[in-house]
Amino acid sequence: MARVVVLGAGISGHTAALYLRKDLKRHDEVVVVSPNSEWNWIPSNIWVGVGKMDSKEVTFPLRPVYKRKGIDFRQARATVIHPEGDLKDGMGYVEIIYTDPDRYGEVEEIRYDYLINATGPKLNFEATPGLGPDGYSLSVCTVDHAAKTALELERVIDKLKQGIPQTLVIGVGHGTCTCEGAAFEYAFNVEHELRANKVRDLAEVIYITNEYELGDFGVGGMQFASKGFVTNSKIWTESLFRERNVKAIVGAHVERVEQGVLHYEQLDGTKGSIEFDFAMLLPPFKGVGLTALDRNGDDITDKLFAPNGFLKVDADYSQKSFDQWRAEDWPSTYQSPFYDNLFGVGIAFAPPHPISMPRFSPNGTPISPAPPRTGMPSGVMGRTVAETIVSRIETGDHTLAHRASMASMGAACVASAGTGLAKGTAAAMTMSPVVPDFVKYPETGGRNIKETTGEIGLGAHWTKLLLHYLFIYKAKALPGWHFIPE
Amino acid sequence: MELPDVDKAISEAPLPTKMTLKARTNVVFQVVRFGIFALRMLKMVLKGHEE
Repeated sequence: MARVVVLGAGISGHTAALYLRKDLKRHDEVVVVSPNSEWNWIPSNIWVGVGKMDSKEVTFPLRPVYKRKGIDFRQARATVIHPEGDLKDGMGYVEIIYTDPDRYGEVEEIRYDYLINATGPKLNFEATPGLGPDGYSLSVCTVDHAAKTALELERVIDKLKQGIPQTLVIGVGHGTCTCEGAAFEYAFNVEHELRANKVRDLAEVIYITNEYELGDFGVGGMQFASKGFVTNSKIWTESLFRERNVKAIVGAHVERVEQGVLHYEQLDGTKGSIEFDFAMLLPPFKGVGLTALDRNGDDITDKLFAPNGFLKVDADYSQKSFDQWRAEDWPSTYQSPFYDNLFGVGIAFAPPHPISMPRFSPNGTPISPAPPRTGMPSGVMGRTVAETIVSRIETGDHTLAHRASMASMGAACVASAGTGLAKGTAAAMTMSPVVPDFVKYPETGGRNIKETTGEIGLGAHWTKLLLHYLFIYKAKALPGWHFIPE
Repeated sequence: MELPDVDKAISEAPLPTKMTLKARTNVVFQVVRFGIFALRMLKMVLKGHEE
């Protein structure tokens, strides 16, 4: 009998847990530890944030799903990993503290044969003074944030209807943020709502981003073939900004947010401020603050985790310049280099370096996107690690490993630009691989031009809607769920 | 570091023609595009597990 503990029940952790339960024998245990009692399809928070979906449409309670599938669920937060166990027992264990209202604050130790760290990020609003719902800006990172943001947007639209001009700033709230695609999506959904409410002419929509140029999306941009030409995501994105009359501030690090005004620094060293009536700014991410101790109780957090708090895995973390980056730097098994029964997936693994070129202002402020590792790649990583663990438990061979590197897998990204079955629109992109391989594809920006595509239209909106329903169905583990690919 | 003039870039970006805008909302055309994109995604996901 083996026990596999999964920390986190987001896209990556939940996917891993479902596949583990499906493929392991019944006497093997699958334990999920998550501080949240609900699962959230985060990509659709965008629609909650413009009031087009209710919170309940993008979430569901995890407990009934896990009960039905035979997965042991503990609503708790992991605090300390003991990968070597302790002096009494060499079996690894993790300390958790319950957030479950019935056991709130109770501390427990769970021994494990395998541990998957899929905790996702801590939303680091503290990195920018005044950033976030506890400060002076809004967010769509959680469903509660998104619901609050929708109410604020409603208030802004009411003011516009009264003839009062409004400035809406949407983007990222720090120079090292990731998820520029989500900020882009929200900006264009808001713009769509303003037009739908016939108040667009009085509203100024400004997109502020740490990207050096539009269309970077934290993946260094993309090249793709369109109508007989090789074009790129920069031109494509700029075209959408022109068509929708959205202004942009690029290469920007938001230094602080105050009531109705934000201050930023740009890559060329200039500083500026924007007065706003509405600001939705995504935060940067960092690790959730897990620590690690060896069997003697000595702190090994710095050994297991990168300085940003994410778990080191089988990546090449040696310091390299941009021109030395290689596809092989990226991990493929997600196994800790120190413990063969410890894995990190989704946002919780430490990437070897960014994907976009790192840039700094003359003051030394880093202003460039952190690498995205959410959505489709997250699910693939969760499943891959689950397959590795199942293979090892079944065969007893601890060297077996399934592989899925972001430098070889493709991904689809569908950025909604307005809802509605007949009037919706979205920008749908596929890219392969996610991390450019400049050795394999030197002429086309490191990607396979046949598999890197982009299109805008109603069909792309349907795709986003399809993904919403398919992935919620899959996450609920309803009949045939495993036939829906990640 | 010099920054590109984003306002100029946006103002010079290609604008979709009326026909392109119509195609983006034409249900029949979009059903086809939807199908093509769905197949493309499926191929990509399956490939991602092959390694």
